[in-house]
Amino acid sequence: MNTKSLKSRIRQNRTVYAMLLPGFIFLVLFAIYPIVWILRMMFYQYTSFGDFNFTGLKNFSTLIHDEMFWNALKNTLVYAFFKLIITIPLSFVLAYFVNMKLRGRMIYRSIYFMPTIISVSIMSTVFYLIFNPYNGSVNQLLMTLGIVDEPINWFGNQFAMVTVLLIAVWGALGNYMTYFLSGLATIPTDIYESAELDGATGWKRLWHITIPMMAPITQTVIMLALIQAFKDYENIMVLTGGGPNNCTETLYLYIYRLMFPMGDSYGNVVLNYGYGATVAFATAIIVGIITMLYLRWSRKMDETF
Amino acid sequence: MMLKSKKQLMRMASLAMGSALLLSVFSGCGAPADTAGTGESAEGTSTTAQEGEKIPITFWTTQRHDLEFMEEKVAEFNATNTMNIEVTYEAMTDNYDNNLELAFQSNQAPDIFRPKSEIVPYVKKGMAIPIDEFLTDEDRERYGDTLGIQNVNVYDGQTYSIPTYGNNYRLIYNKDVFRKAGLDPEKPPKTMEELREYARIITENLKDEGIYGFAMNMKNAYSAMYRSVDEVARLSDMFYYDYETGTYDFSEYAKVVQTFADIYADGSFFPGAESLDIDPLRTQFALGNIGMYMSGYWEVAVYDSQFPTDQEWGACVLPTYDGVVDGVNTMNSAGRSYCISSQCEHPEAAWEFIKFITSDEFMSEYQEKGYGLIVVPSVAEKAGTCEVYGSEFFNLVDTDTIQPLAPEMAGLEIEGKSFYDEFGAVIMGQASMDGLVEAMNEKYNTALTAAVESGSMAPITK
Repeated sequence: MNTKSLKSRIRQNRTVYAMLLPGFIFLVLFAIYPIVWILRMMFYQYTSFGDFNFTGLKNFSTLIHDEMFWNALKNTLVYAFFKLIITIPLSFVLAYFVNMKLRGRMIYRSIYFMPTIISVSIMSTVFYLIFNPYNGSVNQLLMTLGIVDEPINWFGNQFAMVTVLLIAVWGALGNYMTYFLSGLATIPTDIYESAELDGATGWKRLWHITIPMMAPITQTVIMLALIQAFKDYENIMVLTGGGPNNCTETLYLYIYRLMFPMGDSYGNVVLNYGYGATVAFATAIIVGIITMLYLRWSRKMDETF
Repeated sequence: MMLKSKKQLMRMASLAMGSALLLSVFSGCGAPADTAGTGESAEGTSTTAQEGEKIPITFWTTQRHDLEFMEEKVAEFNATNTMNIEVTYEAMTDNYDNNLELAFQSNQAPDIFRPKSEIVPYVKKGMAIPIDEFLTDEDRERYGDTLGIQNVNVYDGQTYSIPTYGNNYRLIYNKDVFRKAGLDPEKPPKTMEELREYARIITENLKDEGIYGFAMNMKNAYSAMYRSVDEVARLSDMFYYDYETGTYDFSEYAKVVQTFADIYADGSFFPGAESLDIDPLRTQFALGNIGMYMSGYWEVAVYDSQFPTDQEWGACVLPTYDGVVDGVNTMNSAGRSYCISSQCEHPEAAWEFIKFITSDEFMSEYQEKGYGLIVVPSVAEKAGTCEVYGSEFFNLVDTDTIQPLAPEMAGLEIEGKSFYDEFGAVIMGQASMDGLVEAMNEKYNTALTAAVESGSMAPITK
């Protein structure tokens, strides 16, 4: 390409470039530059105050021996696994029902979708008030009904993860229900009509038509839900702060605490952008690998069936 | 043709993206700026303002609660000082340290600043200058033992800040709850065993009403334990850091931890301590549902304005392990106040203003209006007490002192779980004490030895 033709091409497409430019600038400033900064920080020790100390691979060796990282990884896997296996089938069932010609189905849809538009921190604070062991309404209800004699410590070691999961599932149901609803809307009605002529109704329709036809969207929904489950931390931060004894600390919460210690600088984490960047990088790799494995597996399932 | 131009367009876009990426890599990988290096050091130098010209002094602080009072006083100083000094007062709470660092990098640092945390990082970075040359013998006599404390106001033998206000710790208790439980509200517990017994009696008698004996905000173990376990241990001379030998020894501290664990095991803790933050704890105390907890002077303002309560509450010196006071408490945020910036062109003028805001009259008025508790004994004894209910329980006693920071508070980096998390888990019955003392001694002393040997930390001894 000679200079003249390059110039003339730029001139010819200047409207296109002009329209691309703002987005491109934002991309560089707010996505590419921070990523590069994070990649660079992995080789430094930096506390936002003072020198950038080059530490070579020290952050990586710290990561390998960091019991809190491995504990957070284990918690994240448990959290993501249970969140997914509860949320996906439940949101599909919900979508299936609110897609039926029921009276008031739009109201149901709106109610189920509402948690998606409520701020996670507000939602979690409300749930904290509902579940707190000293005057929470859940315990009061259970005691009034005579199901339990003593208040259950929902945020204690035994139940903290279960409580966090319950609330996370509640918050996510409506969102994935909407995805499934849009998938259900794409199934042509004539398939159901011809199946009905062949005598397929009820469960047979669901099992042999709806579920197979929903496979592509389910694949995408699971992938999105998987990534989101790995990224959850706001609800946990409000509800338990990762405790007790770090039993609900997930990877993203750990990264957040490394980058923005919550007033516990002498506590279990100390502000360290360099190490935070390393944990963030390792987490991104882990999430990437798990998502890739899932996509491969789901493609293989597609080919098999 | 269309396809070709599309290809070229893609190539152009890729080229532009690549260039921008390279640009960002280079800009991102540029040598990090030396924060204070860009600023001309004012250490040992001072420029004199032209006659008749105002000497501008900028003062940055992290505090907002006293803004109105401070602005009034700054105006008074500006109108009355004989050195023609004009002070500009700026209060900011968000991103304070980042803003301060940026100001230093761009050579626009304030002349005086209030450190947000301990002075060490500010001094190490060269942001503050020593103030020894300004301190007279009279000043040193006035401040007494509260001046010259390693890492608190002195670093590497030089003084960088002076003590003014701080927070001492007390056992906060609800007198109404004590009465209801059949306890004498004028005889709060003096030993941890008594505290355990009081907590048990309150819980046993009042649990059905939702009232429990003792509470800790264990959602953040550090936040809960620095104000309780640490201070009981200090007062009992069972602290985890031995200032004589300059080493960690958690064996005595673990005994204090065990007393808290016993209270939890008795079932006398307010339910849900594991997820309890300090504010929900305070609201429950204000509602009369908690018998006792441990905290600092700031609780006075909390029950005066944040969570006003009709409960009659009191506060007393913390109990000790066995009733014998062998040690002393330390005060929170005490021992440091203002620093003169290394970019200050008129250190004498800055010191003149600091002298004004640390004068007996100024500090007395500050305390009387309830903005802070004076930690300098010689000043405190002349000052009137604050009229806000509860402040009288916090009048300084002999055991309210300012102690040097333990190494982990002065910047010693510890990998993995801190001792607060480990011992916190023991208190909550989630972990055993077996082998923990040895493991913590090993972990903290190894890190300390490495830091001292590498020169990144000076030994901390008394």
